[in-house]
Amino acid sequence: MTEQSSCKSLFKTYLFYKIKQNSAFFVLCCLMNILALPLFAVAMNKGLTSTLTGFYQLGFFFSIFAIIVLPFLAINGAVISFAFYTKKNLSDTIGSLPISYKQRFWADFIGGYIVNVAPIIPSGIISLCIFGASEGKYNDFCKLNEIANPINFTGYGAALFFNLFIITTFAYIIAAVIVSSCGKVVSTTLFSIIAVFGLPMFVGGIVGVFATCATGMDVKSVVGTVTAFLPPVGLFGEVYEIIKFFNVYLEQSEVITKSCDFISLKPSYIIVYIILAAALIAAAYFIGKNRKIEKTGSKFVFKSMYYAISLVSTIGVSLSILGFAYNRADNYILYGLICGAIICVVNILIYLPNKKEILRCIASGAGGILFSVLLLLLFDKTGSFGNRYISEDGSKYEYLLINERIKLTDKDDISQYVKLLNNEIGTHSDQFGYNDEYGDVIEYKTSSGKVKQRKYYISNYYSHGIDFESIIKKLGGYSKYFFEELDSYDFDWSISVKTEKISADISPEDAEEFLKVLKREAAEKYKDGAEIAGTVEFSEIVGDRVNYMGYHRSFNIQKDFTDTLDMISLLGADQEIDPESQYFYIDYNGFNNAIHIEVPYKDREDPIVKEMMSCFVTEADFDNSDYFDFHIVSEDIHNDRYYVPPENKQRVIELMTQYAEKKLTSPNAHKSITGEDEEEFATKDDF
Amino acid sequence: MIKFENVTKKYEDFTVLENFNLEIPTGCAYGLLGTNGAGKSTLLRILSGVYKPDSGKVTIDGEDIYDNAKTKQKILLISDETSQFNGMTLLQMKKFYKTFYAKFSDEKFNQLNNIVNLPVNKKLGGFSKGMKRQAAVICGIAAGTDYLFLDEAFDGLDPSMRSEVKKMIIDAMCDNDMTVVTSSHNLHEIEEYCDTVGLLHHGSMLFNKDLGELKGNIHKVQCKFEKLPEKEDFPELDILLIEEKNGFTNIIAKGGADETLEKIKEKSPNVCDLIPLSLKEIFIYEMEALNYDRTKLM
Repeated sequence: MTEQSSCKSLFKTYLFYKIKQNSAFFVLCCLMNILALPLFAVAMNKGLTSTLTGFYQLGFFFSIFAIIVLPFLAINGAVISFAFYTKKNLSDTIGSLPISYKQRFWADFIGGYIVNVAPIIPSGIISLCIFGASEGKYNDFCKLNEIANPINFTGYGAALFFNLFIITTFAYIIAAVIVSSCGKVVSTTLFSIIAVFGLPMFVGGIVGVFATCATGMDVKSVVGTVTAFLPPVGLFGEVYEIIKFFNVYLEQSEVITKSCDFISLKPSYIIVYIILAAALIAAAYFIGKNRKIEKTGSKFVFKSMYYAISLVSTIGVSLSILGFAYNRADNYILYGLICGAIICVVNILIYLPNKKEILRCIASGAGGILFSVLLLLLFDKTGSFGNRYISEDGSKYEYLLINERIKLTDKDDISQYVKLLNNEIGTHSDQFGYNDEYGDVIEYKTSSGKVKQRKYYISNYYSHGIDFESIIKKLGGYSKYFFEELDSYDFDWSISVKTEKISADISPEDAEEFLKVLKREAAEKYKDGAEIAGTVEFSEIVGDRVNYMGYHRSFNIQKDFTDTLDMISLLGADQEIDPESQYFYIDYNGFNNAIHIEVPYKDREDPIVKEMMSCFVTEADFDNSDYFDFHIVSEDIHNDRYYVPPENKQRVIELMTQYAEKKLTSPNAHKSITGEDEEEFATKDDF
Repeated sequence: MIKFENVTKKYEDFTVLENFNLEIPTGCAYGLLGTNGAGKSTLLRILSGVYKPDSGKVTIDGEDIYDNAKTKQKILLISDETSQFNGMTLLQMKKFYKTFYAKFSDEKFNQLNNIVNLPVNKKLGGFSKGMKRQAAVICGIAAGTDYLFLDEAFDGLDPSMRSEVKKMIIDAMCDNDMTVVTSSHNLHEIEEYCDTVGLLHHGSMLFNKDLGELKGNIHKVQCKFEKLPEKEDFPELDILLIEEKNGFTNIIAKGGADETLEKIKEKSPNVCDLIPLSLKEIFIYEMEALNYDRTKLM
């Protein structure tokens, strides 16, 4: 009993000794934490009263500085707390003290944590109190500035606090693992920084590349998703978002729609983090227990670490850079050089100042270049080792199913489709999707009976993903697949037609006959790229109403579909298009503002509209996101899609503004279509 | 009692101790000799529980040392490096040891510090190397442990300081029956107070003897012969060396003083005197007798 209590008291004694020994750091950490959290909360509070006051700006600046510094302080804290592992004079004194390894480890670990990380807890609580007390002020601010969807002010503050808490805790723990395996202050600090910032990226890169190889998913998306979840550096993305939201809100420069839904506040993630932290602490404990104290002063405690780090850095750097920076541009050499340079630097850090090892560093860098280039070439040329591209040999397939609806069974069609798809994949390599909600799904069954699925981003106005529709339109059997897909749905379609002269709805009574003629002609005459005379629009019917927000399909009527056109003329003879009623719509959604205009066709000769249209192009550079700031749709028969090149962007905005101002004199000319009218169901009788 | 049983300790490819065996009885003042890099500091660190032996067993009073807080309460290591205390004052250093060693005596500390008169409120960083050593030794002795290990304890001390520190250690041994193990590469430093000495070389103990016995058992006789004698001329004596120097013949032999002198006189030398040997000389001759190059040993 006496012995036990003596041991306990020695643990406490050593713990207090550690804390007291590092009291100067404790003061520094408290100061930085106060700057990072309570000062941030106060700055936000001041910002609510009078946006962009000097205090707000200064407070914001110091807070950001402190937030960046905190993980470094945590790393430094671990290195100092376990100085026993890096300073020979201390290892003799501390190592001979009458305390066990277990007591010493926990006292070092807890002592260092109390000094270097724990001050964030009271700081965070204080900041939450300040955020809470600012809620009323914030509500007034929202009312005053007509902010319709206020954020959870205190919730965002809590997210910032928890994120920083997790980041600094993990930075400390990872550094504790590194210091347990190293023996020099400089190398320990350096490797800790690399581990804290590079490890999540490293893991993200490896997981991303392997996931892409296994599933064909978008490598960048996987890397981003995995890394965002991995502390500490991954969570910095969330800290950045939170700070940006606060800043944006107070400056009212952008509408915030994100709810208070942060990783650091989710119990499931917190449980994972606790498990991860426990595993890392256990690793630090056992590495420390098995390390040889005489290795104090050496760069690494375990000899195998030299080889392990060399190997891991070569493979890891190559894979993670491939994961983050992969782009199908012809930049193999550049990619290889970057990887090689990083690998070389990592090896230099490992081996130097041992000059004899310089050759090894250069060799590993050269190996890195070779490995990286080969990896990229292999990755690209094999289509993620056979999993990214689909085989173009049509005879290998039993069927190919697009979005569970369009089923290709003809071998030539499959072959042609896959060739086109692979080409699209190659062109838009960074648009592979993993998100079920927006993904297009290709399922295929091979002749050996295996069923596989691939998912891709759907092509829409705002993304520049693979355009499945344009691919399938190129197939000779397109009309067959189109109507098979229509028939596969278990609801009825409302049919309307539009040609240059006529806009008409086909009544349910005439629909069967009309479709019969259209299907026959399409099967006989369909040709991709043929001249278009009009379109047939199919819209989903729910109950007895057309659901304009539901399924919608359209089929082009070629000029040589004479029987179909004749029938349309008969059916819609009395519904000639009123040119006055046709519009095209232009939406601009920029960072700071949004403009929407509707231009009637009759205004096409207007000088502003003319100039505006001269700024449009029909082909976009899909790798340039600036092309997608504008959304332009016309109501003509072709439903042509226009784009605004970046160099014309400013001019188009000016012209849109001029046009809107001009039309403001006429109240009907600038009506909004944000509308409820569109969402309203029309009844069958309306047609 | 300190006991090493087949202890091996390696630094990567370099073997510091190999199947090392040693027993140091309680209350002994043991002097550990050896060249730089012979393994003296390693041995002391193993004894203090800082290092773990790769194989074999090291015990103090029958108990393991490594990661054994209970045994470590009985020992204290004064390292050759004291810079870790640079940020502390002597009082803080005292407090540090006092918190970890239950038998620490303030009275003893004050008594010892009255002898050396070190400033208690000045940071050790401002002390000379000798003063830091004194500070470490008085804290070590005041800690009241049963075993005190001193690694190159007299390095940097001037003769008067050295003498004072030695006196402190001798007093502590007398008062508390303390076992002291002192490592040094200089024989003179430990000759005055060690009763047993060991010479460490290439990972094993070449030599481990009681100092008194050692001194009484080896003699140097300076004599003058007409013709330089050979070892074979004295078959009854255990001759270690016969050399001619400055016209005289020096005979180094093991055995009793009277017996050695008598046997040499039987050969009728012109001059024959018994010359006292220093510990250093005894070591050198003993080592040469074992066919070791003395320049590589000391």
